[in-house]
Amino acid sequence: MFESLGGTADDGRACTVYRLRNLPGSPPTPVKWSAGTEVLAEVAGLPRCPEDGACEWFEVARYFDGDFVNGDTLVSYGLNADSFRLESPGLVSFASPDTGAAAASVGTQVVGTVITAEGEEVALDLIVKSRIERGEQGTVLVYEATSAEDSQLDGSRFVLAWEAFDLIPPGALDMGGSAAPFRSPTSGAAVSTERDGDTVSVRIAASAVSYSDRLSLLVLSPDDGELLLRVPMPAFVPGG
Amino acid sequence: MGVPTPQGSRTARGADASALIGASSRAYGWLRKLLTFYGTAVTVAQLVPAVIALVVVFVSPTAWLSATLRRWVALGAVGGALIGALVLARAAGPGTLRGLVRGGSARRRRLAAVAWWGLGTAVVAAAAFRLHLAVVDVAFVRAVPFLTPVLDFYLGGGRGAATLYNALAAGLGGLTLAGVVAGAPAGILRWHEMRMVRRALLEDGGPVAALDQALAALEQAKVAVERSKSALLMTGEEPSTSGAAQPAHPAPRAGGRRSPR
Repeated sequence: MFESLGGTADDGRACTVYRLRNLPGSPPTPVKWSAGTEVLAEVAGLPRCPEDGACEWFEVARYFDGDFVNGDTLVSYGLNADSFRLESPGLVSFASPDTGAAAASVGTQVVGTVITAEGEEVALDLIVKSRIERGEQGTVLVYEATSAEDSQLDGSRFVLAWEAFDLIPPGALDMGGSAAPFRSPTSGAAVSTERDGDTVSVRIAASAVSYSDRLSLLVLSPDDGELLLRVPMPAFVPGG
Repeated sequence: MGVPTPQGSRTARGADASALIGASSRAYGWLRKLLTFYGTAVTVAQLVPAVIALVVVFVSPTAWLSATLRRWVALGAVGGALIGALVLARAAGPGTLRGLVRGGSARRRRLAAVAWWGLGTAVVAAAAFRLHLAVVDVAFVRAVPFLTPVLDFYLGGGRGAATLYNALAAGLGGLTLAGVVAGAPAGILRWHEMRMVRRALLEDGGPVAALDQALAALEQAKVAVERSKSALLMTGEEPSTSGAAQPAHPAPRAGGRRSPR
């Protein structure tokens, strides 16, 4: 079962939500939800749902400056996530943030449970954001993850490989610190973060900023790097 | 004398009646055979839809719906077909043709081995392949609950488990095709060669025909010897009546000596 929702967040930005749920009595199910070439959500395995139990939603919410339209989406699931295919209308976002503004932000929130190859359930409940801060010290790009649970951010249950880190010039990132959740997708190296309350962040000074829309956030198993989840996670990156 | 007697007329009519009864009997026999065949055909025809349904169920498990799996299996099938062709070429190729010149038994033995092993492997691999496809079928696993962990692993195990599943399917599909490609032609080749050998043995000028001729010659020689023996005995019984029979003796002996050739 799946549905897409759209609306306006508390801060006035546009918001789309993609929700997936297994049916009662269904086995673990890999799902891929896409709109054209853009992957809206790719879940390695929704957990098995008991015959007489409640099946929980897996939700991916996106917050952005821009708009969304009703477009064609494709939900494929089952073996190899392509045994069954359903074409369905769904909301597709068109983010257009102002990179010259004093502050701008895009974010993706993930709430739900996925399973690993060993059948272990991993609960996800976090918000990942890319922000621009402009102040006396110039422009700073902030990449951050927020969660109320420490285990979501210490890299012990899963790590976050964000394609944005591959677009940042070498040397700008401080690599190291295995307790950090962020990883470079290509090298797999940990990216050092600062901790502030329930948020971990990476801060980079940038002279120019561009917005990259087609980036993904990969949620990986910390042990073997197995993909658990892929969701869209655009970002502000250094460069003109 | 040329006028047929009433007795003769009755005999001819009796012969006609016998022929008629014989023909009727044969026609009845054919009709019975036809009806038996018809009954069998009707029974088989009634089973055809069920057989087709079973075949469809057998060859179209839900796993086939996955395009990724179909690509993997196609790749495995191509690889298996190539391997099967190589095995067949090795068994039936120029190397073993030398064996054929020497008498062919080595080639036939090798072809027989490839046929049995190939087809045997194909049957086992096909069964394993079908079971492999079934373990991701929810309805099948519901009926066989102890396979549930296997289903959960392949469906929920992420890309690694899915790749393992695809690779196993490709391997089993490839093995099946390799067995069929190597085994079936090897079996047909062997059967064909055996037939050719039998035909060569039986044809005019062949070894069996030569043996038949030799046996016939031997039979003739035996008859000639018997005649000579009889002639000799007759000569021994009447020694004074005539010596004219004496010159006839060498002929059967000569025939007796010649006949084995």
